[in-house]
Order: sequence, then C-alpha cells, then structure tokens
Amino acid sequence: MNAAPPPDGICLVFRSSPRMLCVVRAAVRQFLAQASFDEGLTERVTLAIDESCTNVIRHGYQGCEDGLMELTLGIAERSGRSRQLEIRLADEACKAPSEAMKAPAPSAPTTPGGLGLHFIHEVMDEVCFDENVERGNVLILRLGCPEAAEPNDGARASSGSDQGPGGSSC
Amino acid sequence: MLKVDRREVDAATVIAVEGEVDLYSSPQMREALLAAIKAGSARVVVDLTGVSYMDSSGIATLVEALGGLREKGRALVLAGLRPRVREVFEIAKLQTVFTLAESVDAALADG
Repeated sequence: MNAAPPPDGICLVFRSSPRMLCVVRAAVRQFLAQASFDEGLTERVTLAIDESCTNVIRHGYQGCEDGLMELTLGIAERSGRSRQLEIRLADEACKAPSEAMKAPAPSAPTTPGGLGLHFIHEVMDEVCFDENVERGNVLILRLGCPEAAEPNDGARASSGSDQGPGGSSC
Repeated sequence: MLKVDRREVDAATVIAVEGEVDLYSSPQMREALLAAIKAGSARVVVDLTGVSYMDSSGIATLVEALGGLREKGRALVLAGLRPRVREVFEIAKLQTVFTLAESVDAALADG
C-alpha cells in the first residue's frame, strides 16, 4: 500500500465497498481517454479492472466494506511507439493462493462462477500476483499497446473500436 | 444509481433497466426479475436500452433468471442491448444462449 503513482499515472485508494466501483470506473475511463485509448479498449480494460476489484471485495474482504484497496495505473513506453499499460491492485486481505487468478477452465457458458476471472483473462495479456508482497495481495494486470497515439490525437481516439476481445491496440 | 421499472404488457412483463449494472446495483435488477418470475408472466422482457455498462454480476443475474423461467416453460428476452453491453455477452459466450431483440416492441411482437 501507499505506492507512489508512476509518472503520468494515477493511484486511487478506496474502501472495499461495492458503492465505490462506479467511482473507480469513472476515474479509469478518464485516465484511459487521456492516454488516447479508443472507446472499445477503454471499456474492456475498465471491465477487467472492475472485475478485479469485485473479486477483492467478494473473496478477499468477503463483503466487509472497510478494507483498503489501492489501484495504480501507469503506462510504460517500450521500444518504438509501443507502450504497456500496467495496473496494480493492492489489498490487505488474507493472502490469496497464487492459482486464484489463473485462467478458469472452459465450462458451459451458463455455469455459475468464474465469469469475472474469464473477463479479466480475455482482456489482459498478463494476470498475476506480485509474489514479493509479504502482507495482503498485489494483483498485476498488463496489456501491451502497440502504435501509441500522439497525445490528444483525436483521430486515433475514435478508431479501432471494432477490435475483438483481447485486442491490444490502443 | 440504477433505475429499474416494471410494467405489464398483455401477457408479458417488461423490466426496464437504466444505468450501470455492477456488484452494487445488480441486486436491484435481481429483485425485479425474481418478482416477475413469481408473478407468472409467460414472457419476461428486460429492456436494456438504458444500460451503458454491465459486469459479471449483472450477467449472472440474467443467467439465473433465464434458468428460473425456462424451468417453468417461460421465456426471457433481452431487448435493446447497446454495442458495449452486447460485447460483454460475446466475451462471456452468452450471446446465443439468450434470446435477443432489437427493441421492446420487437420482443413483444415475437411473442
């Protein structure tokens, strides 16, 4: 907890109340729009983050609404115009088993459970826990974003919304 | 805040949902669906025209209602899905499990 946000990143600290989810989504959408993510990818990443927070609220804090959660978003420049979105979600709940965030086995679409986890894996390239954390959990989500848009590039911001699930252009 | 309205149209119940459906708000939609199941309408139409976002808890609520209605030989139709909400159903591979209609009128006409 209390991680400094990366350069040009954001860090949100909030309680484990379901009422906070819409506030988190609004902030995430605003951050991704500022970073020139197109609307489709913004919504998919927002869904992955929302489902991650929901998992912490339901399974980590088991519905207790005064647990602390800390969401950090940052975009790292890579070679060329490529970028990587990194999301870190920290909590102070009991240690989750490392396999808790592994991709669920395929099941019938109407089988209950695991749908949120399925969404997270469909959207993000990497989903794992930071194994170096001693107390609580830090979930790390990564998404490669080739062809970074120029800042405030309106043309890019409106393109690419027809990408399928798991698409990584932004 | 989610807005959920319920009305009866002939032999159908129409539940209009407006807002974002997530862990916090989905119990509201669930309550309306359970009431519709209990009321015994032959067809339940969920008007999702006003829904801009839906997460797995919303999807799970609709799956539960679908199971409850089919068990009784009744129908559930989802109407007016926006592209972003439709995409969530596609990621969940549920777009063919539900009966989808372009609008409430179309859902009622098919009945």
